[in-house]
Amino acid sequence: MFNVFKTPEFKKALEFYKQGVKENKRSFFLSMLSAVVWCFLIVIQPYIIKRVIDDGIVEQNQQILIVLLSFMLIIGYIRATTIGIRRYYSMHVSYNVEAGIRNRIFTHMQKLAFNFHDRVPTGDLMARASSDASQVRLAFAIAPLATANILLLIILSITLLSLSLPLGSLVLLSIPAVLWLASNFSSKAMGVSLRVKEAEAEMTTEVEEQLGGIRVVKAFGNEELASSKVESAISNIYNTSLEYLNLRTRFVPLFELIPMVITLLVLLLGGYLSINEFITLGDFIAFTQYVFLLLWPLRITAWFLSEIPSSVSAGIRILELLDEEPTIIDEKSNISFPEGGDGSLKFTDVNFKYGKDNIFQDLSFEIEGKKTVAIVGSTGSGKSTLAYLLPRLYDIESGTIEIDGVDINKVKLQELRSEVSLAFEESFLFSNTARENISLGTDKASQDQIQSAANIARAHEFISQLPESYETKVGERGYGLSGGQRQRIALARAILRKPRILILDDALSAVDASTEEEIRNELSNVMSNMTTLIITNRVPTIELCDEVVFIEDGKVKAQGSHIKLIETVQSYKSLFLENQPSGAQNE
Amino acid sequence: MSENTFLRSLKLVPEINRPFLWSSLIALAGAGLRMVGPQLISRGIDNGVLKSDYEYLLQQSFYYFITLIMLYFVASKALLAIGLVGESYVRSIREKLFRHLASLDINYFEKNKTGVLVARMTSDMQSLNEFAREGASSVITALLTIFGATIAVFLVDVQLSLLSFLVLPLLGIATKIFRNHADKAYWAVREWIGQVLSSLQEGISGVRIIQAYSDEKSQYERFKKINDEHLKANMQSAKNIAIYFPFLEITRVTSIAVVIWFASIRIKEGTLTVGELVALLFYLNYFFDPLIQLSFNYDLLRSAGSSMKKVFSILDEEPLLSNTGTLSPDMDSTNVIEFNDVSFSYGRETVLHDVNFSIMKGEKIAIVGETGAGKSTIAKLILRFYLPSNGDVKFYGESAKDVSQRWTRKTIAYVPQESFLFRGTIRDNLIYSNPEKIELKDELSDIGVLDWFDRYENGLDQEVGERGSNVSAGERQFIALLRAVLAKREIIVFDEATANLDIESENSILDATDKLLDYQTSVVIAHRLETILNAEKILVMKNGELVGFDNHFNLLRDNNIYKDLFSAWNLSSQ
Repeated sequence: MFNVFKTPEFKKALEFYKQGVKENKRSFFLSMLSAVVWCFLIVIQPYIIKRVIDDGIVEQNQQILIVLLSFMLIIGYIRATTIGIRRYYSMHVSYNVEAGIRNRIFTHMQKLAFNFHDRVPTGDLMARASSDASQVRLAFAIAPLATANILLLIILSITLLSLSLPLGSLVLLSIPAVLWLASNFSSKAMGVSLRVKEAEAEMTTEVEEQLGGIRVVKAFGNEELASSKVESAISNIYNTSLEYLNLRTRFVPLFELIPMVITLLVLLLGGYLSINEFITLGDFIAFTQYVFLLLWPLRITAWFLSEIPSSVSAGIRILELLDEEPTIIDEKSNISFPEGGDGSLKFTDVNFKYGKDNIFQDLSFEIEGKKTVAIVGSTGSGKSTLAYLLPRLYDIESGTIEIDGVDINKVKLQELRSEVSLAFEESFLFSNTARENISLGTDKASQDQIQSAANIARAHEFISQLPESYETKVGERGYGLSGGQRQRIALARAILRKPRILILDDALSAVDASTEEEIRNELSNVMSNMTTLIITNRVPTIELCDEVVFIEDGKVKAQGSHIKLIETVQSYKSLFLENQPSGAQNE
Repeated sequence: MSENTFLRSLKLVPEINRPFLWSSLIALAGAGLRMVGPQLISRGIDNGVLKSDYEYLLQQSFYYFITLIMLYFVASKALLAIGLVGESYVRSIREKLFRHLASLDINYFEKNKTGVLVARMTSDMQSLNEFAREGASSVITALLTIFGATIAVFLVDVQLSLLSFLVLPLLGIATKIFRNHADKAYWAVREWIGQVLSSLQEGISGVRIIQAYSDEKSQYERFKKINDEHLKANMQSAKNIAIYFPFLEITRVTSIAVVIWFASIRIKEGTLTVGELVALLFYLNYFFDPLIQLSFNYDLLRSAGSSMKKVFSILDEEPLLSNTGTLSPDMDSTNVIEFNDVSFSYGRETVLHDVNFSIMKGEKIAIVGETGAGKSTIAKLILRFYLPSNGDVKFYGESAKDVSQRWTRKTIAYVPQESFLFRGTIRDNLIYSNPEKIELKDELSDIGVLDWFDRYENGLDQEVGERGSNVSAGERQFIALLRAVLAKREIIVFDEATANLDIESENSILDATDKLLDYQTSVVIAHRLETILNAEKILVMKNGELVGFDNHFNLLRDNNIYKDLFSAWNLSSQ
């Protein structure tokens, strides 16, 4: 009958709820306790009213009436207090659970490797952490109330049974009826509710993307296209929501109706019993009061049950994300890089695929420590991918990569990534201060260190001209700074850590020529202390390097000095054929 | 929701008013039907049970049964109608909100984080939706039930009814106090959820940097701090509710006690029957139970109100640029772009000082200067992303103020430095400027770059991920450039970043650009010597001032700043 509560998804979601309870034991206990107390106090109410009518009004005894009424008031005020306590603590639990889910999702996403993030859009993750988490919260917010109401149902049923066996059993019938209805509804609603959530996530993704690319949207005057894309996602939500609504409107009124039908039956049967003097009039009236009391608990229980599919489907979506295993993790070995190693590099038979595309096939090469090496290759040849493999942002399929003779897979990620510093071609800045952006990933950087890194990257000058110097917030993704300024901050960030291996992935592409020249001069001092890989196709930069690794067709085609490669390797030469500066001739 | 917000919310979607009224009427009918039940029960007890008239009881029960059946249909109809109103309302607000967002000036997006705006479209809509789905129908039903119950109570006995409502002013005061506190709390909640989402968004889109720099811990701490603030705001609202709601129960009990006390006197006097008292108690429950139901929905209501206010704060934002100017300049003029004493400031400090120049039709202009010299600002002014703070920018002789946004967008193409691709196929991205008109394959082979796409397994139909995540940055740039070239605008503005391209790709794109741009006017923010040498005229910028505008040879001869710049390039290129 209640199959929907036995599905593996439901059970898994239940585990999730259990954990939420465990983390907020005290508040959960308090909210449940106050709910239970409330429920006992509310059961007394009709009993008091029965006594009021039987002993006070019908017997016309004013003293008893006064006593009973004051009793009723006191109980009522205590009950009011328990309502306050219950509401506060149940919200305490539910908000904590929601915040906890968000924290967990955030941490978890930081652990998931690049290939996950390449696949799953930002908006989808945001939807799970925001609206799905809120939906799960809702279940916790109603749970104590629902539990109290279920308890109330049981107590009321027992009371009713003790008042009158036939009437009581009649009322009890309504409970399985409502439960059956709720489970029936749940099993139908689960799928629809999941689809509503998917539609919402789709819209979040669309909105996030269109707003993220708003400059492009506006530059092409394509606001209409952006709006119509978002609108089609919105109508998708609308349509699935209507489906859900239709389902609800068929079931929810029944939740209200069943108790009313029961009242009717009670009236009929009770009236019959009362007329034939099987029960007293007072009993009968108290009975109707109890039955009336049943209406709300039943409705609330029904409401709670009707919320379950929504909450469970949200829980499932969150679990789906949390169950995604981080693919790049520490291996169980404690090897460290040798102290004072000079950062020599060795790739042996490295294979790497990106989706279905083979990027590297048996890639092998070696680089001596403290050398400055240019990685050269045509657009899309995998130069950047090579840079991502070193700090294990992607894992290779087979082969080994060694730094100072140590397999990078055997070193703790934290250590590896602090020894390999990568300046990306697209410089991402956080909406944080300039200082925090430069000192990213290091806790201990002093102002002097930050400043000297900024000096090398030629960022110090413009940063000190910002309104609050290093403490100036640089805005989302660094908007407000020019592309060149952003790149210089990103470069300072990479230098600051004094890594064994520094990788510059076309990190100066937006910097103007004279500044680039200055940076290069400054860098050459720093680079003598570490192995530096520079990914570039620019001749002046290449000429700065000790040697060149030339990548073609997923392999190292040639390795050696620029001059030598130009002379001996035709395909290398053709990369630069038309890149000779013509400025000199114009002079 | 304050009256103002409420009325404004209704006015925002006028087409919803009629269905809203209609659904309220159905809900009213439902509430009326609910009132019939207790009346029948009361009569059944008084005239049936008390007088031992079982047939009368049966008759009343039959009426009750009929009422119930009707109630089912009316209730589900009401639920559907109100739900429909809610869903349509949320849908319409979402659409309006996004359209409005899309119409706002670039300036707005530099001040507001994407994550916060996403929150307005998602989390705030969810709070509206929760109210619409759960709240609105319950609130309307509850309000109407209360209304009906009040009338019913008065019909039974006026004196007792007045007595029973004696405690209500107390409730009124409590509600007023609660309302003031609640609004503040919910506003804070909405504010922080925006921050949470924006922090989340940054944590996801910056995940590559975070991982490469092992900054997971401090990012988490940063997120947690904001998340905790949101939690705190939520708990503040919970505290308000926890203090307010017991008041409802207190008024209910007090009022019932008062009624019973006076009823007992009246029954003694013989002016009230027991049946009437029972009916009265029923109706009082009908009065207070919906009040409690309202208490569940009251915070939904206030929360939705705060969300609506957030929505209004966006809708109240005027898009200055898209609304000013309706003119489409006559494009015969050869004076394409003209800067007259243009000064510009983003707010903090003036970044352009009295810049004067004009660009003729078909000219290829390069802008050079050190980082921060004001090159991008000039580009943004040409794109009409901003209007000058002082002076005038003219397009074909017409002031930027008077020119319509639409015309600008259809005339000027832009290639930003960071190439943003949309999810979808490469084809979708290339034909972005004009999906219906572009004959992609023909045009690509005309330009001679069709082969370039053979590198992908699926060619032009290769899917690219979010922000173009699965193609290399160089390829991304190539596609973004080509996208602008295919847009075939009269004027093209490049923020050069060709540094990522290999020579083959670069030559392809340069050839393509040359071919297509022959009749076009182009402005390139140049970083590379060749680009500069290819330009017909060069704008030399320093510290926000135009210090030279001429061709390369003249500049080299006369302009010291240019000479310095040039020697730096030459040095770096040798």
